[in-house]
Amino acid sequence: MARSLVEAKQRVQHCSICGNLTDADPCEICGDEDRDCSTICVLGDSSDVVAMEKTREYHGRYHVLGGVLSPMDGIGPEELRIGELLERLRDGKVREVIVATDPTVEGEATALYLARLLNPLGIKVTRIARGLPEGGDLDYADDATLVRALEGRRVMETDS
Amino acid sequence: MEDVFVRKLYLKNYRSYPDLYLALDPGLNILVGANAAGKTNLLEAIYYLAAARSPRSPRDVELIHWGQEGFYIKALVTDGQVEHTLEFGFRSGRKKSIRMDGVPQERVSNIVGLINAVIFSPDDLSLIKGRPDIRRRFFDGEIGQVNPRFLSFHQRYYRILMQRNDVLKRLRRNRAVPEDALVQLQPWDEQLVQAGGELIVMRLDALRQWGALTQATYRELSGPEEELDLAYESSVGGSQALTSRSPSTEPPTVVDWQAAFKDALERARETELERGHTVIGPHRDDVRLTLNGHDLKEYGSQGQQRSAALAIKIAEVEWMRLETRRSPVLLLDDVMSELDISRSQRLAQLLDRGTQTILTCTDLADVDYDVLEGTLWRVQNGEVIPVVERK
Ligand SMILES: Nc1ncnc2c1ncn2[C@@H]1O[C@H](COP(=O)(O)OP(=O)(O)OP(=O)(O)O)[C@@H](O)[C@H]1O
Ligand SMILES: [Mg+2]
Ligand SMILES: [Zn+2]
Repeated sequence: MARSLVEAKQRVQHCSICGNLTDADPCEICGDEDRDCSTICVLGDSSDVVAMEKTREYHGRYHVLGGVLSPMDGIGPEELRIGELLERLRDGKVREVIVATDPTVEGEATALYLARLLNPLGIKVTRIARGLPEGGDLDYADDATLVRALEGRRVMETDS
Repeated sequence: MEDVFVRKLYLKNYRSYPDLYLALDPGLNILVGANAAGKTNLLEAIYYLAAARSPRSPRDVELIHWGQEGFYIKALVTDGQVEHTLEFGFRSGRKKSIRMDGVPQERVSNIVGLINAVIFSPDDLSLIKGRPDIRRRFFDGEIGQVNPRFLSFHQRYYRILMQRNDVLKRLRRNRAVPEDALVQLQPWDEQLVQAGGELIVMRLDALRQWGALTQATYRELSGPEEELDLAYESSVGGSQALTSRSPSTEPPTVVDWQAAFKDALERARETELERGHTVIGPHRDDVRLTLNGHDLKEYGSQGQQRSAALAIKIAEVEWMRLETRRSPVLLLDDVMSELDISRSQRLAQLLDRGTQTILTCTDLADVDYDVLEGTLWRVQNGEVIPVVERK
């Protein structure tokens, strides 16, 4: 028992494509040919993927940033997996990026930053609707709220 | 109007109280005690139930009994037929925890408004004489007591501000070029402007009502020759009259304020990069008081300033009654001794209405005890003991 735990721990790593925690690289979702590769849902961390998957309503791919912008904590764009995201967008297959970071000040800043970065590339950037309770995390939202949030996502346009 | 009152109060390691249990009178409570006995500390704890913060110190750590790791406040609050328990716990270095009826609450805004409180104290003079941040903290705190939405936006705004200031500090250190600065600031600017516009409009809505009541109360205290006016001095959009009798044009909307804030931020960009922090916004705004057109802080006499401070507080009680359809608990900290007869009579009118009141004094002779019925308490050695009627 103890040995298998150690082995499991050793095997858990970040997927080299999406950044999600996995024991095989690429992860199950990135390796699944049936999933829609024209949509990427961007999330703060791996636990958000679990919440999203539970809804069974989302069939696209994921991208885990490994956090959200927070200058006070020394987290700028370089500290997040944004370069990796740009890399994934280069082949032009992705048409929509859904930003589903938490509705906190930091999650919102991350979404705004990504919108400004990706809109000029001709990619539609959408933000998951604030159906979530204020200050609520994806972790806490029940499945029904998430489904509604996904359906009600709005397009993030940038003016300048 | 239903009355809300604190029926029972329990304090653990709060300020000078290691352990205090009190069953309060739903009407008047008079606390008598020597200097430093702990009277103000007790009023502060009751205020905490309403605002989830101290009226004096912005930091919860200061409220912990010296040498202890945290404090705990529990109260039974009666609201008409219903009774609620409110619990606040704080340990240094952690987030405060709040429970209502035993259920943990994620946000302060979930419990504010359950009970409201207005505190009168000799310190009130600093509302007139003090720096802008004293007024800002006071008015914001009180608006937050009756408007949870304001509280949410307030917390959000200051969070954004802290993050944005951190970006500016870094940009200044790295001598960033304006284009880089723009990319890094934009995600925060957009949010600052949105929350800021909401905040300003909610402040103005509250202060127009509160200001009109303050003006009327001041007139009652000082006669018709002196006209007290209040204005909101905005770093974003200039001076906004709060008490003008001729409501001229439609007041600017949230969207108007957001647009003005956005423009002003753009104009201030260079200055901000030089200084490394946010130089305009509702966190820089102030409320200015004038008497017959002259600045009260600069030119007012002691008596005029004192009357204005009292008028703000009495008006606050009226304003809260209008806003919440309930009477706030009145906390009178050693004020009777300071006031002349006409001012203390005006204050005593508030007490006539049976609202729960907790009044402190060092000497019973300062209080017109004969006319005031209630429970008398002695504060001593960290204890608060009922005094048997001495008739
Ligand atoms: N965090 C704390 N822990 C322990 N004691 C404290 C703490 N903060 C303040 N005190 C003590 O509480 C006392 C002051 O209590 P308080 O201000 O309530 O007195 P008071 O009865 O209002 O006096 P006064 O009549 O002079 O206004 C001070 O002597 C101070 O030492
Ligand atoms: Mg005192
Ligand atoms: Zn993957």
